[in-house]
Amino acid sequence: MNDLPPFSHTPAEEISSVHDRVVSSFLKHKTRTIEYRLKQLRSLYWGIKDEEPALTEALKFDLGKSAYEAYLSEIGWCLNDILFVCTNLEKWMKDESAPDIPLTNLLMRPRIRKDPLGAVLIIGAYNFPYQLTLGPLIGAIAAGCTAVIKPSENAPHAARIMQHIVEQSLDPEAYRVVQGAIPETTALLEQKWDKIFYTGNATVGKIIAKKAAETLTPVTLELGGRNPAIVSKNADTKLAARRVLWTKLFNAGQVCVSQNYVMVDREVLPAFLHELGVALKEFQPKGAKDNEDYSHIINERQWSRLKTMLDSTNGKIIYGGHADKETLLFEPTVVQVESADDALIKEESFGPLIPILPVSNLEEAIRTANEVHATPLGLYTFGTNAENAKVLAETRSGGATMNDAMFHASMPTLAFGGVGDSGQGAYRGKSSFDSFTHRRSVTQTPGWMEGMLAVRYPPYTAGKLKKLKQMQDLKPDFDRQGKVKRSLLWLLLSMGGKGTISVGVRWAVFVSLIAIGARLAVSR
Amino acid sequence: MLEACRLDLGRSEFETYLSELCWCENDIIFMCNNLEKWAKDEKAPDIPLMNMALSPRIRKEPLGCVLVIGAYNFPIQLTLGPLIGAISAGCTAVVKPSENAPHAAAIMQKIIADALDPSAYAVVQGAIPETSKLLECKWDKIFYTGNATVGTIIAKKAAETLTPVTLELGGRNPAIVSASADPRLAARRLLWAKLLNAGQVCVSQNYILVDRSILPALVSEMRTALKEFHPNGAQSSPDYGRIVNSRQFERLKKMLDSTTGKILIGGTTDAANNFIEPTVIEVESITDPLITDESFGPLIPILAVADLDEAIRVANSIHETPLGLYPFGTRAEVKKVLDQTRSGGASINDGFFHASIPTLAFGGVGDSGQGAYRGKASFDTFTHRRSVTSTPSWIEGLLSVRYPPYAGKLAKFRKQTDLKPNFDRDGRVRIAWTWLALGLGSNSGVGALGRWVALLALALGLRQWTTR
Repeated sequence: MNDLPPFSHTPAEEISSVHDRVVSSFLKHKTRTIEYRLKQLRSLYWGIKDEEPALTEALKFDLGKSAYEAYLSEIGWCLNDILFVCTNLEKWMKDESAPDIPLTNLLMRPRIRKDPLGAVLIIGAYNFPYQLTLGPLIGAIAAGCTAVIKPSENAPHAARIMQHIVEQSLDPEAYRVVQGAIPETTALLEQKWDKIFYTGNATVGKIIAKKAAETLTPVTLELGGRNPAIVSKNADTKLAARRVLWTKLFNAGQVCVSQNYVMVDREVLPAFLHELGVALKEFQPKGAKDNEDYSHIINERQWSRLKTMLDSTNGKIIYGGHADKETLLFEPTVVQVESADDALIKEESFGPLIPILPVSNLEEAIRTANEVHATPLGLYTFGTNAENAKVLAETRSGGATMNDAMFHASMPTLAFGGVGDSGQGAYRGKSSFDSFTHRRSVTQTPGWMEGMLAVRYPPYTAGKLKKLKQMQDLKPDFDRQGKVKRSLLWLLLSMGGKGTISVGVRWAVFVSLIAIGARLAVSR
Repeated sequence: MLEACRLDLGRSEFETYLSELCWCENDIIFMCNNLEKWAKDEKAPDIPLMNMALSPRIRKEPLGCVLVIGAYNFPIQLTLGPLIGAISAGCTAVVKPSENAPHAAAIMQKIIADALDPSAYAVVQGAIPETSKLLECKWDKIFYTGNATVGTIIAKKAAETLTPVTLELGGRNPAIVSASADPRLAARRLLWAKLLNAGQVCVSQNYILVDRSILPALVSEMRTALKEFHPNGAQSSPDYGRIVNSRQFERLKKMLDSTTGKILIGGTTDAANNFIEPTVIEVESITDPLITDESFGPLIPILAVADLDEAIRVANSIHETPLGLYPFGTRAEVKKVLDQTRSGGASINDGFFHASIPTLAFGGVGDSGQGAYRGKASFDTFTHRRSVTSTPSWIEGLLSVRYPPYAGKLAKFRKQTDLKPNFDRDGRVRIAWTWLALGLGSNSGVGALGRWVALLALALGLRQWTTR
């Protein structure tokens, strides 16, 4: 780590030439072949693998992150992602046969090409610097785009080592790193990109979205939310407590998708609070201070923000509460709040604050969740199947986990993204490739078809209109009251089954019964 | 509706039936037939075995309450088409038809009021002030069809509230006709794209780049085709439409007047009924306004090029990301064009065929648009794919590896989750000989099975034959 050049901002005057370089690289079409993309990806794999110690060390400096979390959520995550992408890339790159094409149009071979969007800008975040910066980059490389990545300046050691790895492993004409803060990011946004991929908060997300809109540049925004967890009176409080606590210890709660607050049915509140205490003792037997497994808050600014939030609550601290500016330690802190107006509920903590809001029933929880944030990034519901189904049906969120916290966001190949103001677009697994790909619909019209196409050319005789109607008109299977009509013949033929498989099964059973009956009759 | 489109666009019953009525009716039937299937939860793909116990799935949820802003050229299709998608996805909607096609707007308002739940689907009529008012409200999605100028205004407004948008815009779409193309087919098909709706089609080619060697043949074939399509001329043909209003007419007239090219066919205009003849112009340079601006009308500028490379260069310099692109040539030539350009969609050896298949996803890229619709894509465009997992209780033991204290757990975790690369340090794939033998050289399980069955059949056949 020490032999690397120090973290420094890219000079402003270099930024436009970095942009121009990757744009012209794209226009040279060298990223189009699968060989090129696999070469880059495989090289990146070894680049990351070889720097595991430095990568781990950087996270220790920036976040006090444990080697375990560093591997689980960052290093191992990215390595596996690259391998997964390499294994599937050929399949994904193929043209897709367009679905649902009527017979007459199949002769035009309608298909979907997967074209790279072009030269893209990826802006990373500080809480999972590698995953959130290299993850999108892996998708961009796979899709055949060129890219500039702008790691978060708030995690400068991580930014440094990422720059080193990119420079060592990837084609410098096509993949570059720009370092900096607001001025450098602003300069980057002045350039024209074919896509901007941003991970961070909604405030900056809006700035980026507005800037991108000026040039009709598409964006993927991975933001956050006042994500709710709902614990019903039928929930297993022990499991709920353990699982909810887990996400707030992980990275000291600096996880965009973890629950911001927990609503607990009054009936099980005491049990839940008790179980939180039990779990806390199990997970942090010696407490949070000097705990190798527990990260610190990223910097003073964020630490102070959390401290102010905690100080402004009207609730009661049940566990934790201790914080230390020197070491940026912030204990996991459980606070029982009285109303949804509490600062801990209204704002996104992005830290180890665990406000608990007692509710009378599930309806109240759902109502509150929707009032606090109609479209959060994640949603966590603990209860019976029926209760969980009700919660899902009456809320919206980017993703959701039932009877657990942030699990849906910890599956590396499951598409991950927000909805409404918690984000636009998704990535991970195949959707990383899709996020940087344009699905281009293509048809081809053979020469010999010209006769058949005659119906489309003027003069539009009455005969042509009639023929057209015959060719094109689909018949509704419903009447004027909207009821589906089924002919007797259809009923007989399908034997009441719906769908090919069920009809097939019914026929198979029918035929077998006939065969068995016939056999019996003959053998008697 | 037939009458409304005749009044608004001077359009023939045939064209209105084909591109508006039949189009929307078929769309609805297609949606109804497939809706149950589409609305189902999807099993998430590519989930490793150990995560399957968490039943990861994708729910299809309506985005919410959406705004659909229509256009004037195919007022019914471009307004009701998105609405059909919104309804199927479970959204409620406000529809704002284009004021430039007022009769169509009125009839659509009546249909919606008569047919749909008034508390969920409403129509707002108006122009700029009303649209601005609508944009001040918060929507869960805005679907806009029109031009890039207004598209940019809408995108910027939507960005203020992080509202997602689908934008169906236009482009300076190129047709590229190589020396190997059949001039007769190119002429007929490209003309068709400019006669339909009097060329007021966002996706039709804006200009044609043709290899110098066959330019005369192309023009001559266009003359022949025009005689066939309009035997008594365009103005007296009942099949040829009119420009939607005098503002657009004036715009087109001005474009035509400002060209430095030579009018080869057509050129007649009549302000009294917004008539512009299909007009073929041979232009001199890529800076000609007929090339650099989108006509959205029956102007057919042709620019000679020396070869395919020049055509591709010109196309990319005029508009990098148009809505449509039309290459005519050999397979190899077409492939080269497609590989070295970008566009929303493309039709090979034809005018906008890809945009005339009702169930084929249709949309732009870059500044020709964002998002797509038609067919299933209409449902998808108003749907949020919500990833959901469920963690059973019994798995808690297995999950213990994720909880602190972490001492001693890293090795176990790595054993469970680390994938192994199948390539070496030089990026070369290492051949796993056992797998190769087992799979008989096939990449997939099914392929391998097939090869084993074939081998077995061969062996049995051979045995039969030798033991005859």
